[in-house]
Amino acid sequence: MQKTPLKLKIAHLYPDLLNIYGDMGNIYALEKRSKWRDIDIEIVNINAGMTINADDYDLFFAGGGQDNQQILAANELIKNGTEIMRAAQAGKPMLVICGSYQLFGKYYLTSDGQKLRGISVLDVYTEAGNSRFIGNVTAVCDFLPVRTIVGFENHSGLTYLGDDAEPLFKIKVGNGNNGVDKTEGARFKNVFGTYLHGPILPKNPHFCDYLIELALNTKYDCKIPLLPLNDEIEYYAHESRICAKY
Amino acid sequence: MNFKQAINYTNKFYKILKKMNSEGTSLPGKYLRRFYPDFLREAQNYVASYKFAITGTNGKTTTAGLLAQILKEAQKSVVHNELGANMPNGIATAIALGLYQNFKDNGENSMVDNFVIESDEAYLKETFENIIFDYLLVTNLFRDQLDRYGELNTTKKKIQEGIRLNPDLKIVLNADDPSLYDIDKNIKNDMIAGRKKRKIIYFGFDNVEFCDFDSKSNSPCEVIYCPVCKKPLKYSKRFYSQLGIWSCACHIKRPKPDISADVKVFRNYSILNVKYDDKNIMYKLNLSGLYNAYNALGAITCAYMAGIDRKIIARALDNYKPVFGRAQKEIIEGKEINLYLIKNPTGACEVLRGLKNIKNTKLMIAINDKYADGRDVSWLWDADFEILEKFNNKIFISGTRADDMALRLKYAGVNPGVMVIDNNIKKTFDYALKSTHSGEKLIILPTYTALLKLSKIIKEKI
Repeated sequence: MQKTPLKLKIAHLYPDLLNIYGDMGNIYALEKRSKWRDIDIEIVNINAGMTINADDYDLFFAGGGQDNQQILAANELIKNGTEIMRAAQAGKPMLVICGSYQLFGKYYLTSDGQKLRGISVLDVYTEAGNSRFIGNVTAVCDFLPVRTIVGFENHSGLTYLGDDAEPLFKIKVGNGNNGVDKTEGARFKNVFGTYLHGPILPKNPHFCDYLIELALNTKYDCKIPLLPLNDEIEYYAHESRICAKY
Repeated sequence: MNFKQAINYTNKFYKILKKMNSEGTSLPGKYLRRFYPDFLREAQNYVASYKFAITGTNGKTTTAGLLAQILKEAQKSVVHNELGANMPNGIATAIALGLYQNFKDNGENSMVDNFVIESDEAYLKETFENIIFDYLLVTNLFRDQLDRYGELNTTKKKIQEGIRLNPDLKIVLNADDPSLYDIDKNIKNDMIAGRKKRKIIYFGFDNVEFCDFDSKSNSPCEVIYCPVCKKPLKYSKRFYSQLGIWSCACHIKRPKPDISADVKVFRNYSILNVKYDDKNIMYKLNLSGLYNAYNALGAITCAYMAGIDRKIIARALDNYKPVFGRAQKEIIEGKEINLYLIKNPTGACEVLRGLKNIKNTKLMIAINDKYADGRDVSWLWDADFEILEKFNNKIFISGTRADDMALRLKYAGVNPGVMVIDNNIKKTFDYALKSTHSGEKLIILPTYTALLKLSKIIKEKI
């Protein structure tokens, strides 16, 4: 009997609005690392005006954008807010970065006093700060097999966590959510919000694989271990950045 | 200390630094401006005719180089920051050295004809506070080193801060770039308010034809948003990145160029047919890539404004030798080396396009992340390195971020077996040169500071 191949369908939210800082690299990482393990993968670009059905997708991704585009994306996200929340409640993994991390929170108060409403999947809120946090970041966590995470932050928004969100990483070098409490990103169920570009997934393959595993586990409702890959170049890049000063 | 003495000291200091083999083109200017703060302001009194400033994210150095070449061909004496040091201190160094030479050649107090000054976008204001330019050419606004200034709109605001200081400035703009559309408008505290309209001269391409090579890129076309109403723009023709013949439902559209052209782009050169004043003139440009055709059209536009004869322009374009990592060619040990500076996705994509299906070539890529390069290298993931997917010769990867580059290539589908990775640029270059057989070319793609390093290494070998 031939085994049916594993399949994953990824929703890439508003790639034409949220696409700066190389976040496309995260999609490449999810795609290649699945394919290298013979997991069928399909990537669907969700563009402005499209309606999302939570049942159609196994993993959601959204990147960062410039201010003007972020406002457009905020409106689009709100139209699909209920479905995205339903997918989050079902335990589907989501990775949202920078601009979209802010929009997955409750609101973003911009520097000109405009309040952008978010979709409140994450219990966080963001207010524009006076300066910009730009630089290399090293952080740690306790839910991944390799505990370090490296990336690059570039944001002026200061994000604060409420009671229902747990910090995703702890900052070792860099600023993170707000430069004060040493937290970076936020997590609710399997929804991960972070400020880290880099892009984050190629140079943190343990995090990338964790997301793929979560997607498979949720979809097939059983634990599916991933085959190991040759990650020499990935960890060379990872280790070169650990504690790199700005 | 008077003005002349300041220039003399700067010249001496520069020569000493050069003897010590230092790369500092901005250091002499830094001290000059500290000890003689009015230097830039006084220096402009020594210019008899037009002063041109050139800014924008891509193509500044080549555009300024072409314009300076045209003016020199027309027997003008030109002060030009040709080494690409484009912040105020570097500009001060270039002007001091230029005036020193002119005093020496043409006598004390002699004037130069023109300034051609390339200025960093973020420092345009500081430059404009000191020098009153006649023309400002803005080449384009691509995503360039976003980490330095935050975001693209911030870069635009910085340029506007410079523009607002000079009510008589004439602005030369690329009509095909929608992000430049309203750069002369909505400027806070504009000195021109209520006086008159700014003079804008537009240039642009009506038709672009790629002739002897496959120029198709794999990267998806990004949606570009209207600078006014923020809705997606429509393109009747799209040339590359956001450049093309664009319009929006809100009734704004690509301005009609005052100087328009058709271009045929060949692998190693371009033919431009430029229309101005009901005349059509053909120019041959010995530089590859559509991006260089844009640079040439910008330079030609400025030359027309300066009233330079068409024949002189044609001769200058034909004689132009690329400088410093802009399609620069060198021969070492009988092997041809080509250097192409890469610093952002758009520029890198255009260079990579020319490498598609290239044969008999070894490739070296050197990525640094120093301040002048941009500390954030995530832009590598927005550039179309997938073009190299089938490249089966060796690729030498170097620089402080060799690791990121190697990772990018792996996910672009390049076989890790062809990659040779070493952070040390000198070692990698020597090895790459040794591995290049006769009859093969070595193409090098460095970021800015990697290019500085390579230029030094190459100079020692020639």
